Order: sequence, then structure tokens, then C-alpha cells
Amino acid sequence: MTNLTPTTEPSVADADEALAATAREEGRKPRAGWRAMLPSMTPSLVIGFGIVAAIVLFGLLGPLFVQDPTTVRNSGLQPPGGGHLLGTTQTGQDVLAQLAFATRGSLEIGLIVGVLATLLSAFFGVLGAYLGGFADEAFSLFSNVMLVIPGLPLVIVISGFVPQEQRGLWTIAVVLAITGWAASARVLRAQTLSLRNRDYVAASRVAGERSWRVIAVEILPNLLPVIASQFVFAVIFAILSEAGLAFLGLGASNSSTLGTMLFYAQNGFALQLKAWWWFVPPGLIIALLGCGLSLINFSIDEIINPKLRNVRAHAKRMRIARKAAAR
Amino acid sequence: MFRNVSARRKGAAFVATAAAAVLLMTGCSASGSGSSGGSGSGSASDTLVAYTGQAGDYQINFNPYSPSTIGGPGEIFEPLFYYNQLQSGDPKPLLGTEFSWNEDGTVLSVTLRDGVKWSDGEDFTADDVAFSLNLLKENPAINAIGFDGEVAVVDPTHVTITFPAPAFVNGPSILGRTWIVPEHLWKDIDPATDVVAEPVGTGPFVLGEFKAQAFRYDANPTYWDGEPELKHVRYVALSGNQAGADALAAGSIDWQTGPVPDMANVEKNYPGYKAVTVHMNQVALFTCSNAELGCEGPQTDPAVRQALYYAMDRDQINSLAFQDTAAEVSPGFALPERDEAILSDSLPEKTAPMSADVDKATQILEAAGYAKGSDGIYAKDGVRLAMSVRVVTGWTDYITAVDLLAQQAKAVGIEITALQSSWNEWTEVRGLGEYQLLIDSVTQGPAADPYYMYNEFFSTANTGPVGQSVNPGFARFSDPEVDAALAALRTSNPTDVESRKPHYDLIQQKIAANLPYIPVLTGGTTSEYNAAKFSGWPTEEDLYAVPAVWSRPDSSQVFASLTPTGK
Amino acid sequence: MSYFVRKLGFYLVALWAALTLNFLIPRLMPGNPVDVLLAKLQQRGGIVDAATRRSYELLLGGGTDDPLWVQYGNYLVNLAKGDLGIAVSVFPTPVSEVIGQALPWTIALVGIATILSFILGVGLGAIVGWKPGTWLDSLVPATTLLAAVPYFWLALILVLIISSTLHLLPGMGGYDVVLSPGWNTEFILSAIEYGTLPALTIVLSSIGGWLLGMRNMMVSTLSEDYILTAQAKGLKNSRILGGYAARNAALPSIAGFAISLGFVVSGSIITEQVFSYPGIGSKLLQAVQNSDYALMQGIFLVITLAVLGANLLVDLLYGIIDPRTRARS
Repeated sequence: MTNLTPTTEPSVADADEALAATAREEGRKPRAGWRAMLPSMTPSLVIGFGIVAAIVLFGLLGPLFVQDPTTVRNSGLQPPGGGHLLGTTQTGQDVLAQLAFATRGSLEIGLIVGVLATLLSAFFGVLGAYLGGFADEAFSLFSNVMLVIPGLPLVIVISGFVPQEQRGLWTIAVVLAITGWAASARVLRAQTLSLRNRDYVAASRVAGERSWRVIAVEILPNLLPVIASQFVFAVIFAILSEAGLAFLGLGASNSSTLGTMLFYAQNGFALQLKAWWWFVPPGLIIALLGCGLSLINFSIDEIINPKLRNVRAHAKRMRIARKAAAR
Repeated sequence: MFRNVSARRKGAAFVATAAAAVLLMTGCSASGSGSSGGSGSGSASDTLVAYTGQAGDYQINFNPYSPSTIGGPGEIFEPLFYYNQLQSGDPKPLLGTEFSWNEDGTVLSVTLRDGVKWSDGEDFTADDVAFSLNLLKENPAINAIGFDGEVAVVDPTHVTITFPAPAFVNGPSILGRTWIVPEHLWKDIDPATDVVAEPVGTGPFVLGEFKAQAFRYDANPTYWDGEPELKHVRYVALSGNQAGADALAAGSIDWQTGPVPDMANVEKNYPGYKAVTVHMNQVALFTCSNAELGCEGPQTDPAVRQALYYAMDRDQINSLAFQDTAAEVSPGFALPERDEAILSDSLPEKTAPMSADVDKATQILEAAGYAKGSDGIYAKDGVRLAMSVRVVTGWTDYITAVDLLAQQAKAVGIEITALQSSWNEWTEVRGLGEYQLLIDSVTQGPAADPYYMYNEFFSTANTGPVGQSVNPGFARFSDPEVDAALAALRTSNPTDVESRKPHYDLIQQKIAANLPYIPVLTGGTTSEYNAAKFSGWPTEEDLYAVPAVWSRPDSSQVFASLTPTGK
Repeated sequence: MSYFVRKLGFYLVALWAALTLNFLIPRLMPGNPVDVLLAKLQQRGGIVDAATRRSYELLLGGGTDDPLWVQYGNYLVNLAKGDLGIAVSVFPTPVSEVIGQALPWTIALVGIATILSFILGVGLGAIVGWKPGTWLDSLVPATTLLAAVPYFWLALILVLIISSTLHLLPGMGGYDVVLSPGWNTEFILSAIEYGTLPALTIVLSSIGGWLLGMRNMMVSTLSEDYILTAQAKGLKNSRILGGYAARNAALPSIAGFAISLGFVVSGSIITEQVFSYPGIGSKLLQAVQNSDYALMQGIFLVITLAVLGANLLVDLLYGIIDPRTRARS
């Protein structure tokens, strides 16, 4: 749908070695390294969290303070100023108010898809890889099939089955979750495969632990950073995809999201009329949110792959060296 | 590649190379593009570029009878006469020169033009006309006009058509919407499935060249009315309204029909271009109105429909949803200007009020036994006046209109919620009648006579019970008196206005009282055209043809009337 | 050997399952082609009454009465014969012709853009990872921002600036329509000119992923023992970067690249919509909007084959490159 490339693979595919390396270095099973799981406070994490928190707050609280976004006025397309901080749309609706509600809608979609896709991918990726053999092949077969299901007609099909009154965000979110989990299931499967053969996991199995317990206690905690990173990606994927579908006129119906807001702006010729205050803010919020989430993901990546931390240390050394040289 | 890069300096060099490559790529092609700007214009002064809203590629198909034809009707294949849907009066002679009906409308005699040649040099004769009409009868799959007459060739310039029943009203579709095709070429093809890649017709244009992104008509040098002044017409494919507006701004198309930014100021925003708006189709809230045919919901009560009719602030809808391109609408569904002669005097008002009349709306509801609930919404027998309106996702003007309607209805105590659905689903529920309200427009027939619209949308024959797919009797309206009046109209000559007026009167009154389609406004169809490059366009003062680029055969009338100004 | 046979077997099953879904999904969609075509005709000032609907039903075969399983059987048999049916939305053109006409455009545009984006992204990523702490590091957040921008939003703004305002590049269509398509210099130059802006937008919005992935891999690889060994041996840095580090670090990226090539076919709908580009994405949209089952099935088939094929290739390659993969399962 969007051009979000399957970037997750490279950054994570190496992680099993990284984890193994951690295990080797620390000489014990990595699970005990809880502290290693917590992201360290890096500038990118601080900035990322700042941006995401600001946007989430805007989406949560904004709607309480702004005007009614649906109220139409006979004064359309006013530039920012006066009673409207971000101007008005073609039908005189307050852009700031629409932005607040749309942000809330997009966040909801992101959250729903993030949770659903993560659950699906964890189930099919982890369980399949853990059980191995036929179940594994069957599960990855299923993920492969899901990977090729075309999302575009599925939106129409699924919304056709949902009663009219209950349509909206959920319909689109379910479609995006169905079409979006398969790629990260592949990543989780690769991760689990490497964990499964670790000695401590083998030990638990030999000791007669039940499968669900081995998965819950021995495997999942070690997968947490990977799952977190996949979750963040799913959220970005969902918000961008919804915007893409909305652009094609198939966005969330009966509800307001940043995607539908952009669609209205585009259809109302906002660009051609130079009404930047209508067209730019929704796109910018999506971009900022995506960027903030990615920055958070950088920090998660450092947990998954501790070698990445060397980069910062190295950069610091370089700066100091350069300063010293300048002196 | 990496192997030859050394250390850090080279690293930077690599980036620089990459950047340069991008620059080179863009720069190189930029110089190649020169002044061509937006999209492939480069059109000569005698070539008109038309954009019909075609999205994506063209698939070659010049079969005028194919539902997916991309061209041909009018420009290449002419009808016998040209009927202007916008103006009543005699049709313009094309391949036919005159026609007459017998007294009871069962025999139609047509005189054909002499000396017309097909574009391959063969002579056009009455046999071609008989062949074309019989083609319809022999191939039910292309008989979209339901032709059922017997054709007899009297001599090379005369044919008579005999019908089993009075067929006055079928005249316009037989004379004006039947494309005459050459017997010598068509006798060997399957008219339903052949794409006619090399069309041969009698029209003012011939196919110049076809390409997937554009095709070109060239003036027909042997056209019976003389070679058109306009030498070439090129049809291009873009991706929709947005792309159309952008292409217009770039000056790369000369004629399109569709919305543009700031519609009121086309002349100022697009130097050299002008806009013309025609009002043909009534935007209405379609209701599933007939409980006897299975409709359910508060809208089956005529009082509710009446209340909605008065609740509308049409001025506001016009300015906010339709950029002031729409016009007044009559509750009896005759077009106020075109059908002035038969506009009923006994309607409560000739055109629907442009501002909301809250008092009247609430009066109607209270008289019908509704009482206002504590939530401000009227109810009767425990049933709240809450209804849903179906609207297609992405049709922003209709969605805006429905949003406005919801606010306006709330003021009179009716709750309306918009339900957006995909175009596919919307088409389905509309046909099956499985909706309460939906927004759409009522369309006109093949001639400037409201009979066709009444017959299509309001007759029992064109509707059916809920659950059976019908088109276009979507509102499930059925009234024996209206059916009788329509039957009477079928047996009287359309030129006999006086004897037809009482029937039209009755139909309009019935419709206005029942309002199965609640009129909103008469929708405007706006076209933008390059007036600097060509003269002779239809204007609001002289609407000699429907000035919509996608309207066939009207576009051929416009093309044949245009003269390049040489600019 | 059995590893490859089993993989192949499972992919065949996946193909069958996907084909079945491709058969079912269009049939679960509401609406039918006859009414959609009629509705379109009405919008375009056409005359529609009961006779029109009857004739369209006859022509388009509106709604066959065969039970679903018979239709399914016919579908599989026809598919095996390579007969994709007739595209109702452009009746009577065969689906294969519609796809054949559109596919080269998409493959050329999105394919080249994906390759460019991959080469640039991986190349820059290798350099950023090789020498952290330089100004190049700022490429990471910058390209991430570009990847997080809604694609059509970025593309529309670029069209407005580059095409509509500055008139540097055409922003609409696949070639100058004055020219005739063919293998002549003029046409190919025109196609390149028209493809530049769409390709640029695709590269801009997708380069971030490659860059980040490659950088991370590079950083991990650099602390491997064999790199240290190479440095200890006194090899030139360029030699280490090119011959040791980048080679190994690029492996996962290449796998990702194969998969993203599979998605080239399906990932172009929005690009083609923004730029009025004559590709397969706009055909899919057309098929969906017109309830054109046969065309939808045909395009799904192409997508399915491309994606599954790419995945299979990656799986098989991994099996060859990394014997552990075979042992694990």
C-alpha cells in the first residue's frame, strides 16, 4: 500500500547473533539481563518520546478544547488568524478542531492495528517456530498466503460484512491488521528459531515444562524488544496505509482520520487554491509521528543489537578527538 | 563498486557521485522537457485536446453499441437526427432530413440525406439504415433502446418503420440514439463483441490514430456538410478531477467537464478559458418510499418526506457543497427553464424554497401525529424520526451536502446520519432498495421532454419489490394514476403540447405530494473550455448542444461547430 | 535435497490457497458489473431504463446461475489453460491484454525506482555505518522522516513545486502523447522524462529503510573478529569495507530486496494515481471500482506469483547460503 519497505528484516535478522553474543559475553542466559532491556536515554529517544507524547496528548486532550469540527460556516477557506488558529476549510470548518479529532482517529487506528498485528504475528511466528516441524511449515505457509492477499478489495469486502452502523475505524483497522502482520511474523519466526535451540530453553523442555510455559517464561521475555519494535512499525504502517487508502477514496468511512482529512483537502483543491493550512498540517502530523516512533525504534534496535550502541560511543570519541585537535 | 572506494574521502565522493547522478538524471530530462510543462501538450493550434475523465489507459473500442466504447457515437457514427436534451424544438437533421408519424404513432416515415458517403468511399443508402435498426432487433444484447419495429426500405432515400403499438416516445432514441453503421462492413462482424478497431462512419471525423494514453480524430474531408474547421481532436487519459484541474492550469487540455478550484472565477484563474454550466439532473434524496413494496423506516411516511423537503436550506447547500453551481429545482421534477411550457400551475410552489422553513416542516410533522421527544427528535408510536443516508465514500460534494442536511434536519427535529459505503455496495443497495435515504441525481432522457425521466424513475414498470434489483425505479414509487398518465403520453404526438399538458400536470402533482425523491437542487454540470484557441463554443445564451465533453453525441456537434482562432 | 522439495511443495500449497482466496474475495464484494456500468452510464448523461439493463445483462452475462463450486472449477481449469477471461469494465477486451498493456509500465517505473533506492540506500548505509560520527549520520533521521511522510502527500507537493510551478518535469502521464509508443529514441527519452518525477518520489520515500537497515548491519559486522583480523593484517580500509564488511552486511538487505521486488507490482497504485501513470495499479483500482471480477483475479494472479516467487527465491537462497537454515527445520 505505502512505500514502507520491509526494513525490519535487516535490522533484526542479525539480532540472533547479537543476542547470542550477549549470552556469550555475559556467560549466562540473556533473560537475566533485564537492565539491558531498558532503553538508555539517548537524544534520539528523548526527542522521539517528546514528539510522540506531544502528538498523543494533542489527540487525547485536543478534542476537549477545540471547537466543534463539523460546524460549517459560510466563510470558507480563511487563512490562519482571527478565531481560527489554523484557518478554515472550504466549508468553513475549523482546521485545528478537525486536526485534533483526526489525530485521535489516526492514533486509534494505529493502536488497534499495532495490537492486533502484533498479537497475530506473535502467535503465528513464535508458536510455529517453537513447535517446529509440520506446524511451523503450516504457519509459515499461512503467513505467506496472507502476505499476498490484496488489501484494496479486502477493504470493500470486509466493510460489506460489517453492519452499516458499526462501520468506521474498526473496519479499516481490521483490514490493515489482516494484511499487515505477515511480514513481522517472519521476523519473529527467525528470532524464535534461534532462541529455541538455546541450551536453557532445551533444558526447560527436557525438564518437562509445558510448551506454553516455556514460551511464556523462557522465550517471550527475550523477544520483547523485537516485538516492541514490530509493534512500533505496525503503528507507522497502519497510519500511513490508512492515509493511502483514504487517498484512493477508500479510507475510514464515517469517521475522521488524518487520511480522510487529507482526502477532503485534496478533493477541495486545497493545494491548487494554495490553502496550505488545510493540506500541510495533517501530513506533517503523520510525518512527525512516524519520525518520533522511528526514533524510539532506534533505541529499541540498540537493545536488540547492542553493537549499535558502539556507534554512539564512537561518535562521542570522534567529537572529543575533533575538539582536541581544534584546540 | 565498494571495492574501488577508499577510506573516508572516497566515502564522501561516493555520496557526491550518487547525488550527482540524481541531479544528472533530473537535470538531463529537464532540459529535454523545455516548455512542455505539465503534461504532454505540444498541441498544434488546430488540435483540440479533450479530457473526458477517462482514468487509466484507453482500451481500443469504437463500437458505438458497446458499453465500454471510448468514442465513435456522433463523431464517427451519426444518428439520423440530433436531439438536444436541453432545448425542446425540432431535432437537427443529420443523416435524415425529415420524418413524420402517422396519426396513431405506429408508422414512422423517414427521408434520408442524399449523396452521403461512408469514409471508405462507399455510398450511404437506406439499406444501411434498415441494417442498423435490424441489427438491434437481432441482437438483444445491444438493443439498449428496446427497438421492436419493422423496417421497410421504400427507395434509397426513404424508410418506414412500423411498430406494434404507438411509439411516439421511442422516436428520439430511434432517430437520435441509433448509430447508423455501414452494412458492407458490419454484416460480417458480431456487433456485441467486436471492438471495431478501424471504424468507418459518415460522421464529421475519422479515427486518426489510437494509442493507449490518447487517441486522435481527424476531420473527415468527405463529410456531407463539408470538412470541419477543427482538424484534429485528441482525447487524453488522466487520473481524475485533480489531474484534470492541474492539466487545465498547465494549459495542456482545451476542454474538460468537471470541478476546478474556485469555479466562479475560471476566466480570471485560467486566462483564455471560459466555463459554462448547465442544469440537467436533479440532485435528490432518494427514499425507499413504498411500504407496500417492502420499504421500511420513517421515510415511508409522506409527511416525513414533506418535512425534510421544507427543512432544507438549499442556498447553504448550494454554496458550501456545490460551489454555487446548482440551480433551483421543482418539486414536480420538471426542469424549471427547459420544461416551462408544461410546468404545472397547481403545485404548492413552482420551485422548492431556497431557505429552510422550520415552522412549516414541524407543522407537517405535528399534523401527521408526531410529537417531539425529550431529545428534540420527533417520534410517533415510539418510533423516532431517525434515518440514515447512504453516500459513496469519497464523493465529497455529496458528503458535504449530507452533512449540511443532517444539521438542517436536526433543526426541525429529524435525525439524519450519513452512512458512507463503497461505490460497489452503494450501487447494490440502491438497486435492491435496501436503504432508507440516499443521495443521487435523477437523470434525463434522450430528448428535451420530461416524459422520459418520469417514465424511468416514477413508473411501476421500472421498479419492483425491495430485494429485486431494479434500475432506475430506485424509490419504489408506484401509482396507477401516474402509470395511466404515462400511458396516455405514449400515445400522443410529442408535438401536441396542449393535449399532453393535463397528463404532465397530474404527474407533477402526484410526485410533489408524494416526494419519493426529495428534491435538493438541480445539479450543475460545469465545463471549462479554451475560448482563446477556438471559437463557436456553446454558451449559456446559445446551448445548441449539451456542453459536456463526455456527452455523446453532443460532443460531435460542438466539434463540428468550432473554428480554430489560430492562437 | 528434501529441504528444497518440501519448500517447493509448501509454496505450491500456498499458491493454491492464494488462488482460491483470489477467486473468493471478488465474489464476496457487493455490487455487480451490470449495475455499476449502468450507474456510470447514467452519470455520463446516458439513457438507462429497463431495456438498457436487460441488454447489458445479456451482453455481460450478468450473474451466472452456476453454483459457486462449478465456477471455481472453471476458474482453475481456465487458469491452467492461461485463459484469464474477459475484462467486463472494458468489454470485450481479454484480461491478459489489459494486463499485458499495463504491466511493462509498472515494472519499468517501480522496478527501476526500487533498484535505485536499494543501491543508493545500501551504499549510503554502508558508508554511514562504516564511519559513524560524521555529518553523514544526519542522513539517518532525515531519510527516516521522508519514509514517515504519507507518500501521496509528498508526491503531490513535489508535483506542485517541480511540475506545476517550476515546470521542470512533467507530472502527469507516462509519455508525451504526441509521440507513438515504440522502441525509438524520442519515445524512450520521453518515457524517461515522464518517469523521472514518479521514480524520484518512490526513491525518496523508500530509501530510508534500506539506509537504516544497511547501517545497522554494517555496525554489527564491523565488530566481528574477521574485520579485526583484517585490520590487524594492515589491509587498506577500502579493501576491508568493500571486500569484507559491506559484502557480509548486505546479505539481509539483499533478501529484503528480493521480497520488495515481489511487491513492485502491487505497491504502485498510489504512485500511478498521483501521476496518472498507465500501470497495473490503476488497472486494479479500475477493476475494484467496476466489480470486474475477471480483471481483479488476473491482477491478483500476477501479484501472487510475484510475491510468492520472490519469497520462494529467498528461502531457497538462504538454504544454499546458510546450511543452518536447512538443519533447523
